[in-house]
Order: sequence, then structure tokens, then C-alpha cells
Amino acid sequence: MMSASLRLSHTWLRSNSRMCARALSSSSVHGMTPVGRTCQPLTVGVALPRNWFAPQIQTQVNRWMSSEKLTKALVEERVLTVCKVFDKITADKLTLESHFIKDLGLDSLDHVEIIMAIEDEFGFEIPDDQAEKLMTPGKIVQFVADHEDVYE
Amino acid sequence: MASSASHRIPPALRSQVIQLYRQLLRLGYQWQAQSPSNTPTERQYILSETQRLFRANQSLTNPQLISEHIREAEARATMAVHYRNPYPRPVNVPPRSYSKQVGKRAGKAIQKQSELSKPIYVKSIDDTVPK
Repeated sequence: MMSASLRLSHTWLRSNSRMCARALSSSSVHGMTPVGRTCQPLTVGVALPRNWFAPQIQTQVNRWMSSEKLTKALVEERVLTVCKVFDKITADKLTLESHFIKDLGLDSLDHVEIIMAIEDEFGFEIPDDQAEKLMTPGKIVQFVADHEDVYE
Repeated sequence: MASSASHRIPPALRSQVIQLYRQLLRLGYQWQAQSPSNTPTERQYILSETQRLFRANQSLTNPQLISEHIREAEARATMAVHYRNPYPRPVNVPPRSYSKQVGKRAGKAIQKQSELSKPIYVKSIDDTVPK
């Protein structure tokens, strides 16, 4: 009797974890689909100017292809990559704690552009009142981690 | 809008400007042209025009001037969405007021007439006749 109940609880745990995995994968797929934004495929004849608008299409493609679970290290890496691609930021001065306006010398319009790039990268919208508090890459990482329930 | 004393704009207007900038950038990224082959060009136009004009008027401090520019941005955005055309809509010159001269040399009446006849959405467009 003891072994039967143990066996039952074991199968319940296994099916539960399968459901959890399915839920995780479906939510990650949903997060990676560009919400409300259609992505134009890059055709050969179209010459998009090589400024920092172009990489956003590329990062969306990367997101569709990758199916890994989000970890804090991955979030940090992606946030810092987005910041490095921004042409007004010099990559050597960029750390997690560098303030956009005070240390990196940007202004509030540049900050809006960076927040939009982060929204585009992770696939969810950031409301204005919370966006104006995200003044360092570290705070952005924290916000994204809280939003996407990343615990590590 | 750097935080220095000379660039002090009223905080209510400042948040409105930043909200507007965000809306226009979103409009640009999600833009679909009437003929799909034009979509990248028109997107690039919206984004570059937004950036150019916002940066050019970055250091304004007069609240009335700032609200006029805000109105202009909203008008152009609404028209772009309505007509599915991001380019500015041409405006006719009022009758008997065309002059190759610019500014004071054109005469007061013509100058006043051209100022009054220009709608808000062509405020930042410079269509003076080149010499």
C-alpha cells in the first residue's frame, strides 16, 4: 500500500513537471513573438542604412531561434549588448552601474530610445512612469528579471 | 533636455514631450506603408524626422513655443496615421502672395499673410525659395 501511494505521487509529480515545462515553453514562445509588430524579412534589394535600427530585426530573429530559459546572466548579457549597439555609447565606459545621463552623457531622448530597444529585445512594453526610473543597465536588468520571473 | 539651468523646461511639458517622442518612435517601428515596398523607406523617414526635429528643438525654454511644437508633432502623427502617408501634406500659398523675396524684403502684408496661412503641421518645414 505504501509503495502504491508512492508510485502514484511519483507519476503525479512527473506529469506536473511536464505541464510546467509545457507552460514555460509556451510562455517563452509567446514572449518571443513580436507582439503587435510585424517583422519585414530583409530582402536582398532593400538597403537599410547601417545604423542601430537594423540590429533590432536581427535580435528578433535570434530570439525566435533560441528556446533557452531566461537566466539572470542571459538578461544581463542581452541588456548590455543592446546598450553597446547604441551608437552614442562608448563600449569601454559601459558597466552595469553606469548612469545613462550622468556617466555616459546621454540625454532623456536617448534614454527613451534605449528603453524602446529593451522593450523590443525582450518583447514586452514598459510603462512610462517605470521607464523613467531605469537609469542604469543594472536597474533595467532588475526590472526585466522581475517582469519575466527570473530568479537566479 | 540635459539637466542644466539654461535648459529648464516645465516638468509637465517635459513628460509630455518624452511621451510624444516614445509614441512617435513606436509609430515609426510599427509603420506599414500603403504599398509594402515603401515600408522601410517610410519607417526610416518617420524615425529620422522625429529624431531630427526633437533634437533641433531640444533647448527651447519658452512654454508657448514648446506647446506649439507639441501640437505640430501630434498633428503630423494624426495625419500620418489617417492618410497612411508620413510625408507632410503640401499647403497652397494664399492668392496674390507669392514672392521670391524672403522675410522682410517681401513686404509686411505678404509676410503676415504667409504666416497666418501656414497650418501648424508645416511649422518646421522650410520651403523658402532658394536663391
